[in-house]
Amino acid sequence: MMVLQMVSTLLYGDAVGNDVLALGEAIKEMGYETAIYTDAIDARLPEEVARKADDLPDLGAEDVMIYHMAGGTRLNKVFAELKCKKVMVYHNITPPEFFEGYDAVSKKMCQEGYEQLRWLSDKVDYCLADSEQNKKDLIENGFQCKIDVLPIVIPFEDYDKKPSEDIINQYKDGFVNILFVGRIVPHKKHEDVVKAFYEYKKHYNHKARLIFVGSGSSGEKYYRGLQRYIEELGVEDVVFPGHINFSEVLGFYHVADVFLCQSEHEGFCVPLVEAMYLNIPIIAYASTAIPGTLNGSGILMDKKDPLMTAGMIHQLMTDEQLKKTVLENQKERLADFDNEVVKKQFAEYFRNEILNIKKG
Amino acid sequence: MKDIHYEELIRKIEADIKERKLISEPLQMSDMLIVSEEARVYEEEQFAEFLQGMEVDKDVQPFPEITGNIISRMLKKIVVRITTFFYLPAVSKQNNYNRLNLSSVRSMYWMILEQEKTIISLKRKLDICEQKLERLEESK
Repeated sequence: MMVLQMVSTLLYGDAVGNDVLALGEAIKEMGYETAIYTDAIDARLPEEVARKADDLPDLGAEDVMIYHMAGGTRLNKVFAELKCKKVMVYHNITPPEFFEGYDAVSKKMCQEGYEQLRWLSDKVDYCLADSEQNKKDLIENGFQCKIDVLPIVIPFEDYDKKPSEDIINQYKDGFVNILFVGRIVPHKKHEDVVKAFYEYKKHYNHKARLIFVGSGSSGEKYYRGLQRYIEELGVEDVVFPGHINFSEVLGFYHVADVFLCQSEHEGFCVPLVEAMYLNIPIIAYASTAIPGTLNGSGILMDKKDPLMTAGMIHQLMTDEQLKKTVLENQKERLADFDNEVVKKQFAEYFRNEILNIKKG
Repeated sequence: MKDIHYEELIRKIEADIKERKLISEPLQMSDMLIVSEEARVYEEEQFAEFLQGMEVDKDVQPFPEITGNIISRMLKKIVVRITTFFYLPAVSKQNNYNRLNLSSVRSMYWMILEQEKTIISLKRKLDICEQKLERLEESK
């Protein structure tokens, strides 16, 4: 029996890519023959990590295909037509309305992604979703098969690597460093982080810095609008490091005093778990998957008000007991994302659900 | 999980904002962009690109580059000399019109930018006044 995985693009350091590779390890540990098939593999990954999707072997009714779905792609059709047990891991598609006015191409791609998701709804035997939010998405798009929640596997050992000393030396200077990590795209609402930072700097602490780690290349117009907004507000000390290597990302995490998230759409939000691991207190707006990922930890704000958010940052920075409690809660929640815990959960789902799929 | 007493924190922050009479900055990111698909008559980046394009093409080139061997080039030059008598006045008028057009559009572009800045500044002042008025009415 073969247990294969398929993903449209296998990227290096990407949450979906890491999940695919980690599940591959878990499948091997369970003793099954496995491989990854993809249309495109990141040049930074060894070639032998994955095979071309065009070379997919013929699969029988007892074989299993685990397909990672995150958008519109030709592999959705390839997956749907397979004769084996079909398991879909759903990693979320951004609702197209977030790109309105910013990026017509991405809007169209997301619309197509949702069309294909609905088309797949009666062609899959079993689903795994990264979060309750993603599970809800699947149900709303017509999926009636069994859906279980399995958090993304995160390679925590990478975060123990040495952070950039240059970054630490440059930014550990007595300023309060507020960090957000994520692609610079409209639904992550970087402008709301800027606004809260502006209010914090103006009313509470002028020795503060905002750092946005993430690429702006996927949202050009939004990125330009954001830059213009920062200029019009007249707010200083906003840093966009741009394309940086992993040790520099770690460096920024190491100098951060608070992680601030105002995103209005997340399927899981890996940076929240990264912040938990690197012991940075989190303030986040309660939208989509964020309450689920935090699950009572961090500081979850149910309303979006920049003055209130600024006030909360001030409370966190001046109340040691509050900060200690937040960090303790985050450490407790982090245990649920332990790789061994997640792999064990996957093995249980595999034995109880996937092996029991009956093909007609 | 330990209780962080969220409601208490919120009340504390609200009380502090009220006591210090803090006013939220009214400027929104949506003020930065014209996002309507229907009313796409003006979009700053595109306007700037059009201006650049107009700058390049403002002078009409009345005839293509004369190429070929020495005899064909000579013949072409004679043809050009004869025919320019007829079309050169029209070309000069067109070029003059193009330059005036470009200057007008260029000044309109800078005027729009200036006006946008003024509108943004006025909007901020208006919103701050509205917030202060709201506070005054609440305190009565």
